[in-house]
Amino acid sequence: MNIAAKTILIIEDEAQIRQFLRISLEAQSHTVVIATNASEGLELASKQPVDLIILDLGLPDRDGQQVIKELRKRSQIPIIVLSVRASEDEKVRALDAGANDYVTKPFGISELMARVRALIRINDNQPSTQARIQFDNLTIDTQSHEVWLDNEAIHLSRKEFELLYQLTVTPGRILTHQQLLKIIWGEHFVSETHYLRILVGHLRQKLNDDPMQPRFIITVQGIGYRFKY
Amino acid sequence: MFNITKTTSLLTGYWLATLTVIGISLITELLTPWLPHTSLLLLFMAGIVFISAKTALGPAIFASALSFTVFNFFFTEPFFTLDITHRHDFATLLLFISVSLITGNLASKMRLAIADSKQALDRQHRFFSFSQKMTSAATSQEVMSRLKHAIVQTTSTPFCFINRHQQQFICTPSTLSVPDDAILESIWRHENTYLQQIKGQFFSLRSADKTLALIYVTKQLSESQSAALHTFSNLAALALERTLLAEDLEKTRLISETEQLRSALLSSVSHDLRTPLSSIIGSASSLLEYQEKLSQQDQRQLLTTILDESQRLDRHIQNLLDMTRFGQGKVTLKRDWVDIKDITAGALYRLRDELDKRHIEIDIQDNMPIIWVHGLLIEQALVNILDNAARVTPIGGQIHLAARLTTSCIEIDISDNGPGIADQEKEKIFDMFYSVAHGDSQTKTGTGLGLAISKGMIAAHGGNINVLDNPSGGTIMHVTLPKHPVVYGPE
Repeated sequence: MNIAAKTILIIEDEAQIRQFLRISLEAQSHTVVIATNASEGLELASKQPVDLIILDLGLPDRDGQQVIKELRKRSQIPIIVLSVRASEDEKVRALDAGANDYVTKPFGISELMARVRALIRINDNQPSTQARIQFDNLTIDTQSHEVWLDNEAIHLSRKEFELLYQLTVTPGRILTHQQLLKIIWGEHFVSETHYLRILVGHLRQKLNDDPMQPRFIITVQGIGYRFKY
Repeated sequence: MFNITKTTSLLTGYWLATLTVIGISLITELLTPWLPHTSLLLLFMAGIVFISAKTALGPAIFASALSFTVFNFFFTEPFFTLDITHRHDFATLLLFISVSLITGNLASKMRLAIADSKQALDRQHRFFSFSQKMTSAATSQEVMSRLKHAIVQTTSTPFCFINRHQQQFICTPSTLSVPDDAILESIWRHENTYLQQIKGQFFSLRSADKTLALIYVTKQLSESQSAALHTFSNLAALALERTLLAEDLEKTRLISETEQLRSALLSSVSHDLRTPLSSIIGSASSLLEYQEKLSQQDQRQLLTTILDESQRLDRHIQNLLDMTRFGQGKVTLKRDWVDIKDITAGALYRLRDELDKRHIEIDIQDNMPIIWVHGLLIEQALVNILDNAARVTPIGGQIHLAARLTTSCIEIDISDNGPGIADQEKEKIFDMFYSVAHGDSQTKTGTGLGLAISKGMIAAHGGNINVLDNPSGGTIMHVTLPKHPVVYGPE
């Protein structure tokens, strides 16, 4: 994977974790900026151009959720959240607050690097401006709402297309159930997760996508969906 | 209260007597033309018998006197005076008054006797139902509240119930001051002797060898109330002794179970946390010390060990956390509509390293509905079961996962071709910290937590898990989940 070197801000209070993140990211020829607490992190983020932020949710001086909100007030820099296992709620809240992805501690470096790569690619491609999105054998025309699988046109309902479009516009990024329900059905339907389950089921069927070995749509249990990149 | 009702009923008795006599006088007046006036006295006699039977002796005597006066005044010559002209009238009236007095007396005695026996029957009924309530009381708390209820019903005196075992006071009214500790202490210590001195104030609930509790009454009770309380105390004492004994046993059982769990937990922590740690520390220090002397391949092997063992450690810690959360009942189900295929895929993904080199066959029916569960918990339950299956399946062996819909539920079968589980161990494998020993050949032993947690998670959804023999050798873990959820989690 050939990705241009980026500046990555790490906001994390654990020295050991900072260390291996720095070593690995620098090995990928990224520039690493380090903050050990929330206020330092926010200051660094506003002082210098940063391409991506890796944010630990358990910081000594401020709640990580607050930091996400603060950061989102100023910019749309991609944020990857590091959180301890226990709670799905915490992850969903972080994602709904504007975080782009999460990694659960303890994690392997390859898991984190995959997220980093995906987010950097999204930001570089700016796919929302593209008229056509292409993934392997899947082609999506964002203007005419046409979809081809293996050069064969497949017919999607309006909602199925909307779902596919939302997922593919930011491939690799998690969209929470609430975010998807709000976009596709509207504000009042954010708790009707079974609508979404059924819609995803239909879309997978039409894309010939086996949930056991997904090619396109990946379920993030208890949180949402992401498009495979 | 009792006195007041007595007075009222006596007053109404006199009123009833007066009214009856007036009524009879009017009837007598009407009958005068047809009957000899001495026979008319029989009517008055009937009235007196009626009054004696209905009220007390007092009104009966009053009715007799009134009848005598009225008859004398209205119906004997000279009329409208209390004088009597004829001597036989005088004799008749004398006879009347003596007969009426005797009758009245007899009738009212009979009435009292009936009332007494009715009361005795009532009391017996009350005791009987009380004794039944005592027999059916399951806890000492229940015994006490039922006893309190019975005492309130029988006597209206304020009282305190003092439970020695739990140092507990129940007073009605609750403001009532309880006897001070010194008195109580001497009662508990001197047992019988002290109680007899202040009889009527204390009723003891005694078991064979000690006083379990006391009923303390502030006022002097009537003999019948006192007797009732005595009976209640005896019956309640038996029940209290029984329930206290049962509660003690339960407490002992809990303590010993907790003790067992604690020691199992300790040995698990020391063994299952330290084993991977030993490998990690050993491998890391080897690398640090001898890196230059080691071949590239050996270095990689040591690093792989560190990673694998850390992941194992992480899984074990997760199990301990899950177990603690389930043990404390702190888990709230966050149910949602999920696809069983998603859950299975998630479980398989998480176990990709363990399942590596084993052949996994998945067979999920196409028409599976989305299910209403807490997805991550069911995924974890499957992870533990599959992890267990992987552990007993040799490299190159096969694990089969099948899910299907039946008329009543969703069934998931996970089969392995491992050594199988003996019948007598089939239930025990779901106990905490129980792990089947397979001899020294098995390098990675289970912690005995995974299956217990799986069972807890599936049971929380109203489902079940049990072990069946795999016809082709090994074990089938048979999981059922209700199609229509029984328990709805808080939304």
